[in-house]
Amino acid sequence: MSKKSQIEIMGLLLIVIIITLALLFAVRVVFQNKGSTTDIYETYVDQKLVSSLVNAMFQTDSGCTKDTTIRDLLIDCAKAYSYGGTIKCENSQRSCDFVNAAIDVMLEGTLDEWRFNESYGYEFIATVPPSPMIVNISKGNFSDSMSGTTEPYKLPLYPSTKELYVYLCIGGCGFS
Amino acid sequence: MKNKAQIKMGETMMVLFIFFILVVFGLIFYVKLSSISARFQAQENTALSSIEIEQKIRFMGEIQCTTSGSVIFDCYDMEKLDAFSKVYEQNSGYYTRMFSGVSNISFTQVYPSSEELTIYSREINASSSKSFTTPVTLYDPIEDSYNFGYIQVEVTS
Repeated sequence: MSKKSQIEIMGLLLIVIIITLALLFAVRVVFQNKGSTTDIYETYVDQKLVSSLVNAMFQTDSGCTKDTTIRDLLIDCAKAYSYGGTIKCENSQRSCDFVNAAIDVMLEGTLDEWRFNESYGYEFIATVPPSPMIVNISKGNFSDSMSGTTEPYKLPLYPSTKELYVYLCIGGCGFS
Repeated sequence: MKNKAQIKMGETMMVLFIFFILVVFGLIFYVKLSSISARFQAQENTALSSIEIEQKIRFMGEIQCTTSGSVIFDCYDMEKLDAFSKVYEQNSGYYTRMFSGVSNISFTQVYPSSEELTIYSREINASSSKSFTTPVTLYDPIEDSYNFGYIQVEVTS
């Protein structure tokens, strides 16, 4: 093979490399842009969904007695789980049974209504580690945690130093 | 000699031809990429403006709960929601500007009972829409009870 043809092959190779690099760059730019657009909306929706749902749930009047909120029932149930809670509701249920049913209704009216149980799945867990879970509701097939964090909402159990951990994880917390 | 020069000329022509084809392909690709980027940028702006509109509605003082003058976060007064249609009629110009791009605002109570209240609804012909649903507390001042529900805001683009 003459020297001239060797140089021509090198040139051809250089062109192929340049075109490949250009294509790779183009593909990267296109997919990066696509990701960022959907991210803004989805991140905003996911981040506020979990915190808003738990906060709204905590301050809702339970309907168990005139002056108790869901938060009060969760705390009472956590303090006296072995008795089913100390608060006796107007329908003669104890706080643990009542709060479980109430939270189930709330999740059915929101997350189930928005088809989270079919798409990502979710877990709602209230527990005082290492004791058993006082509320354990999980629905759907879990993918990776969608909200990105599994940080619990902590409710103090005065006068004890223990805390009630409340988790709501879209996509699963990894407890199941 | 003449034949060799013709071959050389042909070769140069071919190289130039291929070069210009590559340049044209490059330009087409650049224009396509630019238009895709512009479209994504427009979508991003739409998403941001939808979020802005949704935020404005969620923080409307006309419908939020207040106790002793202080606002309760993510809580809406059901009596104020009921009265909002009258307020809207009296200040339609202001609210039309504020709700520009919004096709529906509704509140749904989930617990203890189911109830739905639409405070604003308008038909808009748009290519796409985004729905924002946020769980909130709904305060019933007559019963003095805090109920659980959600706000749904449909923003079109």
